[in-house]
Amino acid sequence: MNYPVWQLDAFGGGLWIILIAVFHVYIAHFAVGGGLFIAVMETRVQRLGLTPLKDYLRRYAKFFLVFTMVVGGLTGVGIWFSASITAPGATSVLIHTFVLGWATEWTFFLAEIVTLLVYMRSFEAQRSTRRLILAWLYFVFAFGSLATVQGFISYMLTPGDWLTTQRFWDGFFNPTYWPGLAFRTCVCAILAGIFGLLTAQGVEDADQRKRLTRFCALWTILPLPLAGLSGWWHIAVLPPAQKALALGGNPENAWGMQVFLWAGPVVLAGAALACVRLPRLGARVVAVVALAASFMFLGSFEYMREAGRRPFLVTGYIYSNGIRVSQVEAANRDGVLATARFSRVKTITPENRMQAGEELYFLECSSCHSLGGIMLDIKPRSAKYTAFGMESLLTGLGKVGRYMPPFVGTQEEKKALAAWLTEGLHGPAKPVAVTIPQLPDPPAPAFNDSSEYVLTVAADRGINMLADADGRWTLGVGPQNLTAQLIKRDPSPMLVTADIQVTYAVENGPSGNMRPGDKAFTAENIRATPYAKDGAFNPYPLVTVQAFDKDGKLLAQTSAVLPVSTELGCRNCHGGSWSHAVAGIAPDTARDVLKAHDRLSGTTLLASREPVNCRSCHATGGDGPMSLSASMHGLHAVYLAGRGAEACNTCHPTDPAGATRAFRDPHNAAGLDCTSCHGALEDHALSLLAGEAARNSASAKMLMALIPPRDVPKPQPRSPWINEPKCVSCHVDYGAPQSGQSFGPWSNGASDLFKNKRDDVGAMVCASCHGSAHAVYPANNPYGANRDNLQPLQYQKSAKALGGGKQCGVCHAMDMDTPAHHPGMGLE
Amino acid sequence: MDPAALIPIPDAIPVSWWWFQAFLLLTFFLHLVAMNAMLGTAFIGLVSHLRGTNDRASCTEAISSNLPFTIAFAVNFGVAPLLFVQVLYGHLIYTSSILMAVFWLAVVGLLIIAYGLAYVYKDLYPRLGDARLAVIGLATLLLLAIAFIFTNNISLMQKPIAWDRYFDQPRGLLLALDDPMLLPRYLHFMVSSVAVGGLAIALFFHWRQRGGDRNAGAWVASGCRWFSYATMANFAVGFWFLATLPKGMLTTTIPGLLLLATLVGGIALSVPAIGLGLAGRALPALWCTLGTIGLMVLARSLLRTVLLAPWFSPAQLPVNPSSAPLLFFLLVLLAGVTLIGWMVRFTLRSCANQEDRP
Repeated sequence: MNYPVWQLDAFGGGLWIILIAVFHVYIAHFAVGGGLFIAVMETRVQRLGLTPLKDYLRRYAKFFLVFTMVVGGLTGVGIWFSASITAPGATSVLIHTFVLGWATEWTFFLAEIVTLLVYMRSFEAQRSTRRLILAWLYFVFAFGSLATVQGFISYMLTPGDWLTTQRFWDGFFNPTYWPGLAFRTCVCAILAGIFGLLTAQGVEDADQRKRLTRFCALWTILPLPLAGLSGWWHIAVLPPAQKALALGGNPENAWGMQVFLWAGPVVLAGAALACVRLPRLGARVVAVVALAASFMFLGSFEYMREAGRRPFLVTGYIYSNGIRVSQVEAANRDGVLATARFSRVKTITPENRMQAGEELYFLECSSCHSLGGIMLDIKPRSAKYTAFGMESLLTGLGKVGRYMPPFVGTQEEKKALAAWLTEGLHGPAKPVAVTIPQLPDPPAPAFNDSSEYVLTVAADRGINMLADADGRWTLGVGPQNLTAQLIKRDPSPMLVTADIQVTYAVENGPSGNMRPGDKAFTAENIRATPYAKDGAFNPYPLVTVQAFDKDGKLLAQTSAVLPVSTELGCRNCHGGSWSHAVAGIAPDTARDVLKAHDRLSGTTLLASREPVNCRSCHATGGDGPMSLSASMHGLHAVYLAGRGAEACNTCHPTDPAGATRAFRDPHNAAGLDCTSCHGALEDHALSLLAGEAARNSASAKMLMALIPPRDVPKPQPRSPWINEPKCVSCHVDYGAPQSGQSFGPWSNGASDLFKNKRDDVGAMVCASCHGSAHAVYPANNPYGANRDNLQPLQYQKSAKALGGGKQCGVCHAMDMDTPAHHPGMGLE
Repeated sequence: MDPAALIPIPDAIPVSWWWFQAFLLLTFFLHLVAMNAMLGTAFIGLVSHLRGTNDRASCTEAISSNLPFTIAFAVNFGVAPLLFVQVLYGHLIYTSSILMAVFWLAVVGLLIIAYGLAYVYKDLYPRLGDARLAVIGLATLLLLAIAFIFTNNISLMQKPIAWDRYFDQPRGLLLALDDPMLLPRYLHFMVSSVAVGGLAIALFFHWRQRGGDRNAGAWVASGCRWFSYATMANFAVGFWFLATLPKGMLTTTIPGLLLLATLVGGIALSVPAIGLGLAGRALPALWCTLGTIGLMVLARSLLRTVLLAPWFSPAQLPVNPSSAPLLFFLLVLLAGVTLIGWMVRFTLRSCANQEDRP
């Protein structure tokens, strides 16, 4: 934010520094190892009298000089150039913190150049002892250079105590300094040996060539185990989070470790093969392969080191995008654009929103991402998102996955960036046109004063999500349950079950018998579908329930809706379109969900041939992973934080503009929303996670650390589907609501749930008189105003709770004056 | 837009800024000498090939054999002042570098090619024949281009008032072409390179002459002529440069007056240098020239101080005291310089002994 950003598209994302650094790092290690090789060879030539090898040594040194000084030296300068224009903030920290270290390194560099030039010139003279001294001096200077630069490089990965003391030596001799130096020293020797293998093939004398080849092979082979050990040491001293990243914990960089583990043995094999009596051409080929493998060996190490440092340039101090940790608070408060010196937009307006988004992209993303280039191209990565999904991703950035830095800035800036990354890059969003048909009311079965029975029925869930997901996975919540009660009308009505058969038949769906139980009949796992035969979407198919006596005589009949919706908003963040115009999880979306799970949890669900049942792992109360509810809400709360009911509507079919609009009861009309009872998503998730944390779930604790509570400082733990909000939290003593918030006091077990709970006389289930949860009478169904109120309209001609408005006669066949079921029935 | 609002906040330095200013001046002096010798000799080599007479071969051969060597030191001596300028003016030079990032990054590639060509010119000199002109010509052009980029960057760095052009061109394609000081400043450096290059050739052959090379005298005279005429030409360029400085700058502030004094001193030293050059006395001309270069380095620093005065002074840099690393650096520098001195001494002796041989 302190500096302008070099705005690049396809060539952005740190491409230049990588291109230069890849070569420099390799050559720089070769410069040290090659220096040692020359010194040792010089010693051998002089002490052992291997005079014929003097010419070889001269050629090697000549190549070494040109290669290391021209390409090595200048790419070293190039790293400075590229770093200062692509990461000026971090470069400034490195320079200012270690300027005297850099100056020391420059001294070594100068001495290297002078020594090498003088050494080359000394071949013309006869003073061999002096040449020997020069060779060793060169190595000393080169190693000094490596040992100095290692301090700066390792500091970036593990600054250690420097973060608090800001002292030069604390930063220099940081936790990974020695293991890194040990590893690099080994690599230097390996590279020198490999270059020796290659150049040795130029020696004409066959005997000398073979002996030299074997010597170089030993140079290559012997340091390899030490390189492995020091590499292990290097990883061992890393903090756990960095260790996980360095070991490939993030799928983005997992291949680095794979390459590293493969390249080492290939180098070893190449060197070992070179010892065998190979023809000259064969030896050359082997040397070239080993050379390439050594390039991959060192390259992958550097890659993993860089990966371990994510999302920082200097761990804990400055993020990959150049934003310092110390700047985050102010930037979140005042805005990145207002804080950044080189931003044209300071205040976001509807007119400049896209321009602001683009500026934010360059400020926060372009250091790692390119636009259409080879470096983490942002275009395909953003293609699947809606602006809303992107905004959610930005909210959770750097929290669950530590690979990327967090988004820094205000909510407004986040929205602007999300809009540019989606609509700005991929064109305006195409809104899905939702047209909801008005379905005709079914004919109401006859009911009058002479009717003997009242039959009630309600779906267990007034909002019910069916994850079709292209058959790839299932949440296991789609099948519905029905609860029916048959009341024999009388001043003292009876709930009858004996010798009664109750059947159900879902419109265009399954049918069957209901199972008698305690004063009620139930049917479970009814697999309804919202797709009609003509393909139309209807999330409220009717279910007709009939009660027969033992002789098959129809005693009563009624209807209700059996909510089932596939309008699960996974696509809002996981991409894809609706599979059925206005609902349904499309194959792309389904795959992306599994892909995300694999990436975050290290699973291989995407490759699974069988449909994945989420609850097979995420069982409630099991010993394995968290319950599905805790996992889903816990994870997604990280991304959807900061929102109200919009967060709920993102996934659930309750979007007021969606095709289901499942929140249909009077609470909606009264201005309440999901959060009124269930809490804001963060609190809702925290209550579930707290329940899991009580079972000592590490994942729950990890997620809890990422979710700040919203309205309740410490949400009380609960179990999903068991501990739910209670009506009486607001409707104290069943009276008029005393507040608009019922989050917190949970239902005390399954029997206390609205769908199961009985009245004060232990007779009627709440839902029998009031309708299903989320659709209590008088509900307003978008597919037909009366569709959710069929029973009260059938029995009492008004869409109130059964018996409401002093219509006790529905069951009692007479007026009553005592609210026996519960207080507040309007009789007081 | 207020340019002050664009200037980034600098980081703290470990010791007083004077240390770095001293290191900067010293190492930039070394860089300038090496860079001038490199570019100047390359330019003279190019002109020699353009003239195309064979009797110039010994001069161009000498240039070819020394060009990679001078590039190596020009680069190495360039690294140090670039380090110290980053410490003192990093927040300014990073900004200007980003504004002209495409050109700035191109320096690396151009330099690698030029360096490579210098080795081609040296190692393949006998075999290149007529292609020598193309090789040294291209290398010289690249080196001139690099110098132009550097001059642009320093000009842009010293002119925060021009930074708001970034908002119209954020792709790293800006240059300081609208700066009236740019061209005379660049030419002043380039012409002085030709002068120093000529002097370097004169000195090279001066030592050859002392070693007994009877043909070297002509090249001493030739090099001295290049030196003197180029220095004379540089007077004109220098006064042009002076005329482009903001009005009243030299007389209204103490750094301005100091700048004027160093300029006068530099000019005063260069007059006898020209005379010595015309007289073919390379060694005395060298001492005068080194003095002139030293004063011009100082003048350049003072000019920067004056130009940046409204915005920044290194004295404003916060200090996070840490003297042990300074001591360590000075010890390593002392040891390094001692060893380098030892190596240079015996190499020069070895060269002298070789020259002495019949």
